[in-house]
Amino acid sequence: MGVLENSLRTLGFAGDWQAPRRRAWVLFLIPALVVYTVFMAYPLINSIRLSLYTGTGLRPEEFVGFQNYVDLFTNPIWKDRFFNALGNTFVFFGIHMAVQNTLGLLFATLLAQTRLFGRNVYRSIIFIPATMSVLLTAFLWRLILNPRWGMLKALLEGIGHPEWFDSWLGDEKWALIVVSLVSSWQWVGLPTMMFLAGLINIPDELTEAAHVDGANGFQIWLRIKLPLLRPIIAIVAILTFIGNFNAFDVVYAMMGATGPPNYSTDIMGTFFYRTAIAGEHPVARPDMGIGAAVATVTFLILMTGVVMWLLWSRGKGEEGAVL
Amino acid sequence: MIDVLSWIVGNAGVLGWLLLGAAVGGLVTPRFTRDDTDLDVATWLGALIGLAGAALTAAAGALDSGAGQVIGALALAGVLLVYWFAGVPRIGRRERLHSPLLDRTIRRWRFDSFLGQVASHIILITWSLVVLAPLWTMLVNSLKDRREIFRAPFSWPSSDIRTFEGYRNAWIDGNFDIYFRNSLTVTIISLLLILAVGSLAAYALANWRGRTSAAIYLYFVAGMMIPIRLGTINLVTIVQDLGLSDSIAALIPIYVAMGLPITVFVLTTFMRGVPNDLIDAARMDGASEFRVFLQVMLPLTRPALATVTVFNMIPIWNDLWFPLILTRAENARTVTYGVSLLFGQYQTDWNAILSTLSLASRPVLILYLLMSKQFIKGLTAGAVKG
Repeated sequence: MGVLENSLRTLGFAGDWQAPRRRAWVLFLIPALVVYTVFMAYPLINSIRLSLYTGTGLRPEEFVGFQNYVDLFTNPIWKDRFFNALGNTFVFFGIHMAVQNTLGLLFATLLAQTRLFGRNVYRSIIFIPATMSVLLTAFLWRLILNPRWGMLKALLEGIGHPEWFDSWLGDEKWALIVVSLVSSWQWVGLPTMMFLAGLINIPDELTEAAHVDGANGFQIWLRIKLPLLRPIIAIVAILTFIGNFNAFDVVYAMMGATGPPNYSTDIMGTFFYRTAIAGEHPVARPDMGIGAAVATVTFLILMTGVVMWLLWSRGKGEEGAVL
Repeated sequence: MIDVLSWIVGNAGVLGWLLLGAAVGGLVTPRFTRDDTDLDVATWLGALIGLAGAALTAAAGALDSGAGQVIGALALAGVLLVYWFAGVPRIGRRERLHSPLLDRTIRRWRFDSFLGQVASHIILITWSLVVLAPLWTMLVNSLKDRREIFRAPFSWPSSDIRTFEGYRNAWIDGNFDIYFRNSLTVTIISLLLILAVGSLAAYALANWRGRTSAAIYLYFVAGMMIPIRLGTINLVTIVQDLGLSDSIAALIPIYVAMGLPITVFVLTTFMRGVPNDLIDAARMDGASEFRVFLQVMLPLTRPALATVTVFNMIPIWNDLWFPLILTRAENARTVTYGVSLLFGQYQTDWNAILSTLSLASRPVLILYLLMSKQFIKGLTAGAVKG
């Protein structure tokens, strides 16, 4: 206890009437801080350090400075795949923003009508896919889109347009789009819930006043509700951004770790998995240093996004306060 | 075309009952409740009615007789009556508005919104079908053999071709009993630890106001913005150093660390909202901080704890990344990782894969449906305050 007390005193905690309580609080915080630091904060920071080392084993030992980054950005073995994966991830993110978050906003608007019959049933159904494993959705959609036995094919034949069907997953142009759509199908429940919460929290007085003034439903949505939703839209955007740069499972399960066909569905998650864990063709051996560099670059991209969001929401502080 | 038509005809009964039951749940209750807080109860009862109806229809379909249908309809009517009189929480009708202007405005608005309501239902029903149809195919095809999957992929398997072979194979040949046990162990222990460690920390952060505690709070919450996966390379060596390679024990601390940011965030926010009087009263009585936490704060925090549980269970149960990298050994595999192996192994044994998938998705789905109200409340609260 003595050591703790001393350190507390140096930190300026002891001496006043609240000191014993603060001691309790420090004790309460210790288990969480230890687990969180050892298994999350330290590995993250140490990964950044490891990106400056190279070596063939699990523990890169030879210090090489920024050589890993130079390799990643200029060596043809890594460069093409890296920029390809980076570009694909932005496409992946763009489709999520355009499809998943737009649909989420639409569904939330519809579900926010308090008199809509069965709104809770719809709400539950929309969220069900988000509770399922990505593997499950990936496999289901692979079966549905299967060119030999596919529900979609049978359905299109049923309505008399078999020519509308194509084996999209085997097509370089379409595969990434289809994978993004499947992922949007799964996660659309999350933005829906967030937008719904935002819409419900808009005070009735605001919309009622507009009604009395003769505004119609769409005008109210566009002029009153949407501006008030802006902070939530920003949160959803940043969460989508983080989620997409962290995505791995959906491509791994639907297409495989190499993002076929011809790396057209390769995203940062699968690229990181190959460089750091599975081994990248043609080297075929995991390179921890390069892997750590990929993780660091992803980390920096995420941080850029988060900082931009923080600056934006700082600037709009007043609007956030309404919600 | 014939296939689709026969599917609709063959399954209209079951689907119809399900939709009807669920719709009744949503439909009837708003008339009796003041606000929408009790709608979940209604949805639940409605879904139960739907399930009862579906079961009866299935039974009737097995009988293949008109009498079966009549019995089903009568039973549904009975359930509806019971629901109407006993199940619906009656809080009282909405109070009448006494302002003529507001009354007129609202009436006009209601008429305007009638068309909007129809459009809303069309959109939402379409999406519901897009969500439910794949799940329906998974369920029905997990009960069929391969030949039957090809022949009639959409229909409910009639009794003579129904097979539980897939489920049996997954459970016995596929070692899924071990995988399930592993997943349950990892998920439950991780969740318990997250709740214990996280709520203690949140209690301290909610009470201790100062620059240090604000910094610690930020340190935790920053974890919501940075995926733990980026530290994987180092985690592999940490796990090795601890001698936990290929053991499910390796996953637990990682999941605890992964779950802590959101847990600390939600619980701290919630605990700050608990009135200080209650806590101070206990402190006056001379209770230690730990006893105040255990006996006063925790019981008050129960709703938030439920939210956090669901929040954390979904990603932990469904996680593929860490089992794929850290626990590949046969005895340490989790269900999600086990399922991912099936894809390569029995590429064409759809029956087995579908059975396993529908088994693997069940625990989380059941928990979600049981706690959906808490969960959604927590989700929305977190979004608004975040």
